[in-house]
Amino acid sequence: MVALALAAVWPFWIQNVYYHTVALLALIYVLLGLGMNVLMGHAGLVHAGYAAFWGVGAYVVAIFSTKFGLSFWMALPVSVVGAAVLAVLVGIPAIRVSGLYFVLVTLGFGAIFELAMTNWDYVGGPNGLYGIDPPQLGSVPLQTPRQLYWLVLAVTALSVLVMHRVANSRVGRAWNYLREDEVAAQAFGVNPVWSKLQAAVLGAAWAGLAGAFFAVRQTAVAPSSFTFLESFVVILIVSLGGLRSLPGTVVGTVAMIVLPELLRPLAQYRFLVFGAAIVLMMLFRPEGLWPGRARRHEEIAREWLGSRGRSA
Amino acid sequence: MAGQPRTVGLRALSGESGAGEELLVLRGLRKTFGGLVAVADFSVGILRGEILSTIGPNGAGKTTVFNMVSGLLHPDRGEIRLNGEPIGHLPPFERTGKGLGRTFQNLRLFPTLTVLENVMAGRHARSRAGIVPSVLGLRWAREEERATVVRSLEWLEFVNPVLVERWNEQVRNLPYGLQRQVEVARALAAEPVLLMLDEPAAGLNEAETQELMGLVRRIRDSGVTVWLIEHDMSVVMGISDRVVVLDHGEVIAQGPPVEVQRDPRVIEAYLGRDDPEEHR
Repeated sequence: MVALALAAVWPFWIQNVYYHTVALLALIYVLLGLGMNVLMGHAGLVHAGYAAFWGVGAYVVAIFSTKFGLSFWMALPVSVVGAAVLAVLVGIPAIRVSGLYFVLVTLGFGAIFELAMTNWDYVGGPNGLYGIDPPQLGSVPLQTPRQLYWLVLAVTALSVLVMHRVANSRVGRAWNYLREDEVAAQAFGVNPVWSKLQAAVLGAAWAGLAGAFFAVRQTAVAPSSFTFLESFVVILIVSLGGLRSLPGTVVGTVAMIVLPELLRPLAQYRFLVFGAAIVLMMLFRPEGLWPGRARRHEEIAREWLGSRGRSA
Repeated sequence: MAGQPRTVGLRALSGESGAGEELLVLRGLRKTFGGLVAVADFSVGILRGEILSTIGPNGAGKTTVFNMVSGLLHPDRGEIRLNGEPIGHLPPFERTGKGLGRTFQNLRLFPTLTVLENVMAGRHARSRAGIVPSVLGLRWAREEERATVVRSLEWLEFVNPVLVERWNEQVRNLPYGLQRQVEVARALAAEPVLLMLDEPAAGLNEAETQELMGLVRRIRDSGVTVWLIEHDMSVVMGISDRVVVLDHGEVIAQGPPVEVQRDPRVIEAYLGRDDPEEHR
């Protein structure tokens, strides 16, 4: 709560638009990380074509705005649902294979998306689409990075709440059971195909959400924004911060997005530094910088044990 | 609203009046792997409220039978009926809801999850909150979640109060004997009518084996029918109402333990052939 309040008020003191821009980008990556956390953290699905869902969200907003003059708010649900539908189409074949094969299938899917956008003249081919209108709040266009930052901050706060509840739910546990032992999970009533599709849909929906805000931040979209490298950055964010940890996703984003932006001169060494950081992390802190886990059931258990006069 | 959590009583208890009738009927089960006949022709009727054991030397096809009943393997032919209802066509995750619970010969716990989280897996088929009710925090979904936790703790306590003390430890950090008990608690949490235990005494010492036999009796007394696969003759003879002996994929004898023990074919299967190590 304190963190949220701080995140909401600092732009009043710090007027530098550059910081607002970086913070807005960071929030978009937090949204991406929240979605990837469901796929990779909980369900154990390392989706290497994740950026394509982000791309769908961004392209939907771009097409609605530049081709039809329709508002951001009409495009937003289509972005989310579009990414989710695509996740089902890709997911049906992909989730039947596991581990490395899943990575390869989704990698191929990501490459197809990028190539398709590059070669589709309707969406501008390699140049993409530009001149995307800002979202309107009532009659006020949210044009400045600071206004957009506040909008996305509200969306992110809500998303964190949603993801917290999902992680602490029966569905969230089912993903963890599948990740740990698919045979045992099935023997206790978890339908593996259905459960993984739920994870894919939820993860992709959040990527679509992030993509929609990305489009209005950039006011332009192009295929080069949705390459494998972007999927990889999101994978690094959630692994570095701590799988299944919501604060970890924020920490990972600060490390992967904010620090390199603020230390511009060193930015070209970013992947060198983070490659090394990942190796060190895997050796010394495989659970991530801020490891996390579901907590709700622990509260209930402590209450029950307490009521029975046992120590928790 | 229609969203009340399913009642979570001991379903098996309500069926206690039907003691003696056939709960699970297997007829003509056959499974081959390539040219190898794992199970040739397996038929058995398990009576409600009994402890039935299936014994046999290694490789006799015991676990294959379990895997076919729980749905992890598809029989080449044969019929599986639970409470008169054919379940052979159902995927494994739907058989849990029909009342089957099982443990695995080589532990299949969720190693990095806690003891409690492992047992909560057993509640999956006995609860139903999806993403939307959980995210909205609907009252029935929160109550179901609480029931999931409390029931799981109660089953841990039923199996072994020591497990309740260690509810929040990663299950892989528990000693082997306790891990076996967590598996039993997880299976019980699914409130099965039939509990299938695959070599539950494997790797246990003498004291732990005694404790296990006591537990199996308590489970049966609570109204759950128990079917166990065992390699260790002494366990089987001590607690079983009936024994089915499997060798080379075929039933070679069945009946009360004392009779089976004297059956010459059983003695041959265990003692008479090439591998005396089989008899422990």
